[in-house]
Amino acid sequence: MDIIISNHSDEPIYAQIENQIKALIMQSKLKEGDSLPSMRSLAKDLRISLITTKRAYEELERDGFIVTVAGKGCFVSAKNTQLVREEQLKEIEKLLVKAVEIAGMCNISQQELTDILSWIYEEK
Amino acid sequence: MKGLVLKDLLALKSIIKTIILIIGIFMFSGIVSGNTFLVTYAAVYAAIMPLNLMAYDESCRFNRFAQILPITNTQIVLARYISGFVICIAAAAVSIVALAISGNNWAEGAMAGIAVPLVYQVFTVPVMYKWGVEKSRYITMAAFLIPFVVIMTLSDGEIIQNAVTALQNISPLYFAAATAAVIAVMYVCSIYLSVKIVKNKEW
Amino acid sequence: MEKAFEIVNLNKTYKDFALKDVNLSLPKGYIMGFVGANGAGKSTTMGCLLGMIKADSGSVKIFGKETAKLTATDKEKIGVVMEGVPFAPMFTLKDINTVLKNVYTSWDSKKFLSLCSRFNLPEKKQIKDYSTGMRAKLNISIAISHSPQLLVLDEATSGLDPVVRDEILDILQDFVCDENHSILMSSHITSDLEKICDYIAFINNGSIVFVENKDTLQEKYAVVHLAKEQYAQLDKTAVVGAKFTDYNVSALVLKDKISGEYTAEKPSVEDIMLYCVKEVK
Repeated sequence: MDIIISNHSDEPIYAQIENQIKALIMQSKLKEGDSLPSMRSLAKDLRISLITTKRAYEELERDGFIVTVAGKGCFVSAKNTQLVREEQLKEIEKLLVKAVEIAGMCNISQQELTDILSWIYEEK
Repeated sequence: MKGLVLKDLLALKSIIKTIILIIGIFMFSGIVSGNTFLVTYAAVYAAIMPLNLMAYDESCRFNRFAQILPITNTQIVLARYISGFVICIAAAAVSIVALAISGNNWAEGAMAGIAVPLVYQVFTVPVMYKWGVEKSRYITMAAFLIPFVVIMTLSDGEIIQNAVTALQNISPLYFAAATAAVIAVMYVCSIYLSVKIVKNKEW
Repeated sequence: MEKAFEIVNLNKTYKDFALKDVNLSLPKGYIMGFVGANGAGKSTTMGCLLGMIKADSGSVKIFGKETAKLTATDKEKIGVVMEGVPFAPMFTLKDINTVLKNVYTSWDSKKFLSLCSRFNLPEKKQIKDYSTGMRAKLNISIAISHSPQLLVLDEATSGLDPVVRDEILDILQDFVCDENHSILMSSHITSDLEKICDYIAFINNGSIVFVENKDTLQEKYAVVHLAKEQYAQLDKTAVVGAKFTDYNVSALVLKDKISGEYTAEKPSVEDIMLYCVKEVK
């Protein structure tokens, strides 16, 4: 499991971890039932405090991404990944609808819009 | 408590050879010259040993460490007295054997050899707990050991022996028992005092 | 959450130094780093926590019990490292093992001897011939060989080279993998504390300045380098401390109280310590 903490980001560390684990789950790199490293061993490997990893795991559990089984550890939970993916798709759709609206207002064609999208992906 | 007594005895382990050598020399010269005091020199060592052991404890700050060991302050103090007592008995046994060899009347020598170090410990241990080993060396040296040594070597124990014999004319057994009882009481008081000092001390 | 230890309103006055209203506690399963200048009160606080020093006022509890009322069973669960090896100079490893296995019911001879050999401590050598590093390694081996649940370490890694320190930090981190285990450690080697601590507590002149999540500390504060005029315009409530040179001003600031573009660096624990004791002009 690859998690990289950026010291220069404005995002708090617990949020970075939370988001990276969410992304791994969404990309199916972490599958339902997979066990997550214990909060303490994650803290140890990333050189951060247990408080931070605990907070990250608590947020993930609150959002339904993981479950804690007493005595056994934390595991990826299935259900919410689908729901959140749908949420994300809805969010993207909303933003794209807005982009199309603006394009319509200033006579930008669908082809130009598609070109912009391709260019963005190339830059990444 | 067993561990603490072991600690004291183990501390002696490395210097035991030197001690045996010195005592051996003194004993031998005592037997040859007929000086009872020299023969019972082991008793002097027995008296001083707790002082040395406490000095080690102090310099390596064992007593501070002992505060977080699973033992009470009473046990710490008791262990100190027990080690001292064991050393005294061992020294007395050696003295008795030496006296028997030298043909002297070993009973009085043995009594002095046991009683004196024990009484010395009774006085010095609380002093050492209270004021530390360095200061107590001066205190007890001046108050106890010097007069004792002076009397013993100058008179070959005659003064004390005369006093003892005089008392013994009452009844030797009664005298021995009374001495033992007095020392036991002194021990109890000394232990009580030491425990009180240790409990209130800041480490 | 159960607390490993809890110090409430601790006061202790000496002739020329005093601990004032020290409040410090640690939930079980965490590591707290304790920093402060020499003489700031770290050892005194730890001494009061362990009952070696009697407080003038306040309460000190370990595992929920007043320190003065801890039983022998409770004390089995506390491991301590302080300066110096607490045994006579002619003792060897084996002697120490013999003594302690007769003192602790939970003493693990096997663990102790294997730790010592892992640290390359010679079995037959007398302590008086040990180097500083060897003494530190011995103390740590003693502290963890009786299954403690709380470790209190006072400068346990000073005098050790980075390689050995790293090994010991590893051992300490493994120790807290059990969520019933906790560590309070004081150190001048702030980089060690940054590596493994969850909380950082900073004490200065007998008072606790802050107790914070180590990560939050570094998120909350920043070290900024400014021209003198820029510094003069800063909201002074945002400044914790500042260093003045002939060319510029370096200051430790609360990030969210500062607006504008500055050269900002993430502060190390050492930075925070140093700036906290500098005046704000």
